[in-house]
Amino acid sequence: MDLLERYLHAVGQYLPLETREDVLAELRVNLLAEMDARADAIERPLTVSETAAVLKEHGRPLLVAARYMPQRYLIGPAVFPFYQLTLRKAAPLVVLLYFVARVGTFVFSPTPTIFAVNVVRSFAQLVPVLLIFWAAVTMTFAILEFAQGELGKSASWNAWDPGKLPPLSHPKKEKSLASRIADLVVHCLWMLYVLAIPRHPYLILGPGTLFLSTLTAGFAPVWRPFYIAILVLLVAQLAVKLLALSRGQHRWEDPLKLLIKLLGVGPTALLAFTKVYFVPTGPAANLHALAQINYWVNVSFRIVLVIVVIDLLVESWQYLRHVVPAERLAF
Amino acid sequence: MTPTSENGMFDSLRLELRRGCLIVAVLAQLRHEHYGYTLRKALADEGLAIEESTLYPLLRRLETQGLLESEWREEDKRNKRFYRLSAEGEAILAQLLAEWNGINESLRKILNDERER
Repeated sequence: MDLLERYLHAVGQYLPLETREDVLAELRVNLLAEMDARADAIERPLTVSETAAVLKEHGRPLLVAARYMPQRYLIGPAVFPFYQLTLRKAAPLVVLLYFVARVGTFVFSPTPTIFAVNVVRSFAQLVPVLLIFWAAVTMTFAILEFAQGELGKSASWNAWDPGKLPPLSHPKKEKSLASRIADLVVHCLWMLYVLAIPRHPYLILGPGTLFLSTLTAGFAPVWRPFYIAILVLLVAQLAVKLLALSRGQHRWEDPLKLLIKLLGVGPTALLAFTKVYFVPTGPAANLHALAQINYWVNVSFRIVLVIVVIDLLVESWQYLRHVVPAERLAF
Repeated sequence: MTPTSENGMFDSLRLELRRGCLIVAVLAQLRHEHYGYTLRKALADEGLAIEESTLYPLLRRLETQGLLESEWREEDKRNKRFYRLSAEGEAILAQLLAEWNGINESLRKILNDERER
């Protein structure tokens, strides 16, 4: 019986003081009854190894004691589905708000910073932001669990309208060949238009060209790399439209469009972080008016950059939510 | 699906199915007084074997919930803790059995409908 006492002592070490004696007394009598029954069956007392087998069958002391402890959890089964739902629904919103805030800070920051460094920093700082969000939601639900054991049954949590469920999504229908050819032709015309701009600036500035000449001002050097970047993008788009002519390439269309949109952020960022767009071309230039124009063009491009980045984030999210399974996007 | 994974899935589903039934069985068996070991034996004799490490803590939990009553009493020169169904436990058992019978009846109908098709 020494083995039984040692076993009970080991179990007792993990039990709370107030119930320890009671639980151990009950365990002892049950285990003794089990041993007696086995001894009766074999018509002799149990050996040490047979006793050990009974105890082993009963379980490891730590686990046995754990089963006598009250069930402990931060968020119980009644509240957990709502906790999970909140995380799933709110996490993408937190990511979106975070990036909008980052882009806004970056664009309107008075001190210039390097774009690539900002991108890396933004992604690195997203991790603690998500952890804080997760901790805050968990803590809120833990408090709710503590305060309201019956939360799962409350009317407000269960109030939902099946009529508001989103419709089933149907796979996008592939465009007809005629439509794809028309798309290509329009794009080629658009490229010709863009190619003609350096020789005929009025194509893009309209009467603004006349205004610039009255100010004795012309284009700053920044427009050159911007123009080349736009041409590269147009060529990339042309390639995508040519690819779209062959059947079965439909599945590449969306990711390629998204990639081009991502590349398009570069030229916009280039303009947003440039201060000088128009420079004087003669001594009679109105420098004050030119400075005003440069300032407002800069503000406009910064606003455009914010819109472009938000659009890119929204489209990326819409694409990813259909491609990546929900459980991999959510927590 | 390999036989091993099939067995694993069966074991897990069986465990899930048994979990709720065990509480009903324990409550039903405790309409007559038992202490831990004899209760386990009685359940096993009826074909419902249950591990000691599951049953004994379950008895305490059901008692804490007010569904069982217990008392220490000497029997065969040993002090034992005897459990029996409380008045509240009886009411809950009646409701659980009604639920159980409803489920059973529905399942029977579903299976009969399948056979008739």
